[in-house]
Amino acid sequence: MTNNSGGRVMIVDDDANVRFTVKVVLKDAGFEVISVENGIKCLECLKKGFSGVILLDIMMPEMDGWDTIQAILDNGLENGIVISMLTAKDKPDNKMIGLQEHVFDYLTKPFESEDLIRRVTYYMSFVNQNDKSKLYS
Amino acid sequence: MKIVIIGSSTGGPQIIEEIFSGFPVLPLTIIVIQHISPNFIQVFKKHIMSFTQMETQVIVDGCKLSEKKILIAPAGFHLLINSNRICKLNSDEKIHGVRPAVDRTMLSLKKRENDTLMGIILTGMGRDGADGIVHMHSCGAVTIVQEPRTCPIKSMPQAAIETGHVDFIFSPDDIKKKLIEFGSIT
Repeated sequence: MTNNSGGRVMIVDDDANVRFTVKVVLKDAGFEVISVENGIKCLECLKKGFSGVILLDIMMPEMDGWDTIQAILDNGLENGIVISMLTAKDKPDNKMIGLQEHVFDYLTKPFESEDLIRRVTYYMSFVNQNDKSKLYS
Repeated sequence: MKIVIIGSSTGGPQIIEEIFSGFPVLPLTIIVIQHISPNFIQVFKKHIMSFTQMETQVIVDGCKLSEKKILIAPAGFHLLINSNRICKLNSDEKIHGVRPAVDRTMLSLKKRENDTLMGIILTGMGRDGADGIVHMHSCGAVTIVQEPRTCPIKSMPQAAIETGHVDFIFSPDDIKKKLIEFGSIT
């Protein structure tokens, strides 16, 4: 099924293989997927109005996942997004302390396709319902 | 009154919904401290409401605890329970990088003859809730943590376990069963 009606997902990862896999899996599940290779491009997309789920790698050159979240907050770009960390690290590092409320979930690579789809669908319910709340507030 | 404090962080909303899925109406006062963005607190409440017949609400300053309710701490405020009955919110400094802090709420509870307490720590980063679990245990509470293998992030439950004040280490499904058992005992 490829109707791209499930909502928008941004995969932020410096590993092209991960970006490709996530894009294929989620597009096939009906999501519109934007793929970017670093935090700077993630911020650019947000400044252009991206709303949806962000799957954010932790270990990236220049600006890592935590720095990216901090930049999102510093620029007031946190509305309309759900952030889940997508990482190969087994143990989360202490840079997360202070950012917990902004990290909705934590996915460890490698991931199962079905689990990824199930989780992204769940995150999307927060984005969508939040949008509806704004419409009627 | 039977008072349950559930402390949860990253990855927690799904676990909490799993616990409350099909949860019966029981004479419990369940307080949920979830580290979550203020943007999502109302959606989180709606999700829980869709899973259980227990009345569910986001706490406002001054509200009183009552049975058969799930009370969610609002994002951005610490929650204290005065005299084990009255909810007080404040904007004091973050603890462990978070507000609300699970520790702050758990540490505000007192040992009282008419109250039975339970403290639960779910998935999350850091050590929020560990001191609170020790305090609740000293007040006679049953203390439970989520089995770390079932957690997206293990450090919060792990920190609680390391205090040596945890009675049970359970999967989300077993936490649910224990909660139902706790609420069913007269």
